[in-house]
Amino acid sequence: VSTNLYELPTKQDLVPAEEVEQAFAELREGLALRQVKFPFGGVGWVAARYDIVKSVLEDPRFSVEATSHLADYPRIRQVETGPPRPPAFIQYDPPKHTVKRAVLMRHFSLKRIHEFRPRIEEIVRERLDEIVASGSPADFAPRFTQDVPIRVLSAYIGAPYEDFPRFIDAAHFLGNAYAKTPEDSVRALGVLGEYFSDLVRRKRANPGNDLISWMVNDHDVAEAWTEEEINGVGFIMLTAGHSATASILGGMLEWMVYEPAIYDRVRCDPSKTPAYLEEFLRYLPAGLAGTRTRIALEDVQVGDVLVRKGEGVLPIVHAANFDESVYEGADRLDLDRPAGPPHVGFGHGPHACVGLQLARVQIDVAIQAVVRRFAAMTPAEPDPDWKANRLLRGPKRLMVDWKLAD
Amino acid sequence: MKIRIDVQKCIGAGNCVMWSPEVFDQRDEDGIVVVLEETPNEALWDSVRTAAAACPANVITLED
Repeated sequence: VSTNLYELPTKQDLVPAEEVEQAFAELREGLALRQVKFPFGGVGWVAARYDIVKSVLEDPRFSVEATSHLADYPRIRQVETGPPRPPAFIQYDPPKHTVKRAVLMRHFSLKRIHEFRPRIEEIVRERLDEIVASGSPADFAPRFTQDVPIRVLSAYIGAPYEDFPRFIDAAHFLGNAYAKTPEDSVRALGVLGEYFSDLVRRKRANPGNDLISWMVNDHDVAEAWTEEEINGVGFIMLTAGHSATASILGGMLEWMVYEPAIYDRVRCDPSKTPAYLEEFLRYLPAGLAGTRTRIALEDVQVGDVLVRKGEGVLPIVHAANFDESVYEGADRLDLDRPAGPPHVGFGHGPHACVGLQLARVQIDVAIQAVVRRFAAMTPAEPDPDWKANRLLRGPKRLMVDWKLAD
Repeated sequence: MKIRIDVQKCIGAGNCVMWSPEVFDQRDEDGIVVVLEETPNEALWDSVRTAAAACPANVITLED
């Protein structure tokens, strides 16, 4: 094995976006799959081209569930493996995954999300009221870009916001790949598992109008959800779901604050926000890979590369979204980009993001509320190198001078 | 244009409903796709094509 392999980073919230984007551009060259050094589990394959990422994500010979039986495999987060435990819903393969996913999706249909929209609007309004009351300038990250997704997702699953101190540090720690050792993972998973078990008990005793209560009461399905499965769904929403939504919302607002033309354009016709959002979802990274490693269940030929049974492949959706052969000027944000192949920011195939419509609606609500509330937003701490300094997971600090609309 | 769907493969993502709400809906019990207009009128074709392309499970096939 060559020693100059690209090494995938950890601590994703500290990684500059351009750094990985340059590396991904090189990984799209040459063979259909490329070898890189993973932070955990050694050397493995990554897919970086649009067509290859999609084909791996669609191919049932690449298994997510197989990872739950392996003590070690190439992966970007320590937490993906650990001591043997029952696989969570997200790790199931079809056909079991298909059956369970259909039950879960009754709680994530567009109709359900639109019913929830007024609550999102209320949460966003409260956050903006607080920022306005505290005066200009104000730090929108984390007070808006992180706080809105945290509060929206906690309201959706039925976790009282007051509970967040019990698990939010563990969720960030795992979601951003800070765990170095299996013990680190086990400790943080323990914190989250204990919290969700307690929450499920409370919802069984006293159900509300929220995801955990709905899942607890999914009695009409062949198999009721196990506590581990409910925990797993809650866990994903509060780690991947919340941090990915915050990354996109933060990244989008960062562009709007630094590029007045974009701000004015969104403000001019806020109803176009969902259309602009699709280009931001293509352009902005929501994390390093956007998905998990797959294990080949048999030898699989992928383009010019033969993947041997048991080897791991990680599809990188952000790399696919920057594929020049699919999107002209892919590394430029272009709100006038002609309609073309859909981005894979929410993944692709049977494991595509469950919360994609919830994410879209909350970012739409948040951005529309911002442009309706403020006539202008400008950086209070201008950074001429802001583009180069953008972080993979969105800004950690976004000090904004704001001016109220009439 | 005639729309065919492979309902067994549907994962309930709702992208088709988002792009073409006149033509697609989701069942309440599992979010699985329902086709409201199997032969949509021409004014809707662009939105149907976008919906088909945006399906993460390649459920929607369009025939001339």
